[in-house]
Amino acid sequence: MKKNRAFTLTLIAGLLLIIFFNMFYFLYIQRQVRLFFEGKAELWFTLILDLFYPRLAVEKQRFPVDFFIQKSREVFFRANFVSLILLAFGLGCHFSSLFREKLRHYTTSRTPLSNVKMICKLYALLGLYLIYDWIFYFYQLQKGQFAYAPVFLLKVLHLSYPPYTLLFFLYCLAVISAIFLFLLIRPLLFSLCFSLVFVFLQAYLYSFHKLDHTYATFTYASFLMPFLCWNLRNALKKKENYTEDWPLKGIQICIALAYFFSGLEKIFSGGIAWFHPDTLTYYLQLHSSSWGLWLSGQPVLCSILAGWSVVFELGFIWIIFQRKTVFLILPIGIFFHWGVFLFLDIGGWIHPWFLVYFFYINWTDIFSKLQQKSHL
Amino acid sequence: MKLKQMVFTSIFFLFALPFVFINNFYPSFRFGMFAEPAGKKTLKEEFSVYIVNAQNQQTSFDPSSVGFDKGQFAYMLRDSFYQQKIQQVLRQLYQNLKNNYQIKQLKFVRILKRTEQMQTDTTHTLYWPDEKE
Repeated sequence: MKKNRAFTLTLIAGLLLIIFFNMFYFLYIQRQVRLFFEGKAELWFTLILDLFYPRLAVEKQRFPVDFFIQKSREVFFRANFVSLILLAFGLGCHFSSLFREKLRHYTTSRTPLSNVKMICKLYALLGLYLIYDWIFYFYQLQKGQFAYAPVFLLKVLHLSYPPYTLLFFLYCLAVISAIFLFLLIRPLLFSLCFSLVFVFLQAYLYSFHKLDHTYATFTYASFLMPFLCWNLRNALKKKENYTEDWPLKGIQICIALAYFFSGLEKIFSGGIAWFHPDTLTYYLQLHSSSWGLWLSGQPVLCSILAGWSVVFELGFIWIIFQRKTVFLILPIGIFFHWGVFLFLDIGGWIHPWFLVYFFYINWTDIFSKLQQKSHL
Repeated sequence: MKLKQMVFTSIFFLFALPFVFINNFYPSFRFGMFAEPAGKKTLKEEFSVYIVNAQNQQTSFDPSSVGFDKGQFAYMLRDSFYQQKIQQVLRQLYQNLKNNYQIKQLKFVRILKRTEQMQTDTTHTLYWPDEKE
């Protein structure tokens, strides 16, 4: 009874918050956006915009104020959309015992330690592969320091661009941590160390006006790997053969959400126009690969491929709900990235976004099946 | 709140916040690559820097010599152009290059292409180094 009352109160508070937010936007924020372009917005609003949207200093020279009013409406619309999703999730948890049970089962399942160990080794190897040439970029970037424009994390922490010796030290620390993690020596300590250093080194690499998404999925995996190693350590201490795999599930969800939000962005930013052949044609001509230029002359194929890419990106999340789809969705994913490389000249034959697919594989199953086959 | 719940809630917000605010908040990414429809992109801008030597011959500047890839360098030039900081950028580039090249001047070029009208506008900015430099 008490639980029901608390839920009803939370629900009412949530709805009131959404209504308040909507009124706040229409009566106050929209006006402040216009005033910002006249240099008359309130100080707190200007400071927040400067912190969250450093690019506005550039973009407000390129576009008229109405463009940003439109963008602010988009923010408002998206905020409502996410609030409704949260509300639906809350209602699902409260009213559906089946939903609750499935959620509980999903987050409390266990995996063999041998699988976690294999995942740790592959993560460490992939980490080494991804950062191996960073030190050369940092060496070159010493000359480009004048263009340093810190990304959000570094800006919030007020960190300036460090001397090359410090970057070199951090790089060595990352390499040593990855090697120790691969050898499963103090996995918790070294996964934590590698993850932190990786995130900061990448931040410095991208603090030169252009942030791309090459390592995005690996970055999210890095946030959760220390938790997986923590579970591994606890299981080893208790001499158990299995451990809770919720951090691994978290990594799988992150990878799937990266695709899902890529698809969602296309729907929200582009809408129906995104499926028009002109959109893909534009991008193909912009990147000008020989295959891409050929494809840009095939409007029907452009529309089909545009639709297909959104279906794939939104549908990737199905892998979370249906484990059996792993062997269908992952190869499609690899072909998807190869297609992007071939037609748009982005990425390469080996792409970090599909290298992280190993998180979806149950390595213990694979090895036991291989052993069975070899016995036969 | 249990650690597990906190982690899953954080994951949700790591993805939801950049999506809602249409911005990257590194280490949280917005996945908006190729999301804009073509209709909004009828203008195509190109930015480049040329080195002009004493014989007035000009060569395209290779951004990898200061650690940038081509795309990154173009972004940096675009940002500097719109913030009217091109002269400062050219001065910094000159400081980096003067020992390896014979430079009479640095030339910044912005080409604006209107794709639907097949028109092209070009903007030049020159940087003449001081004798003291």
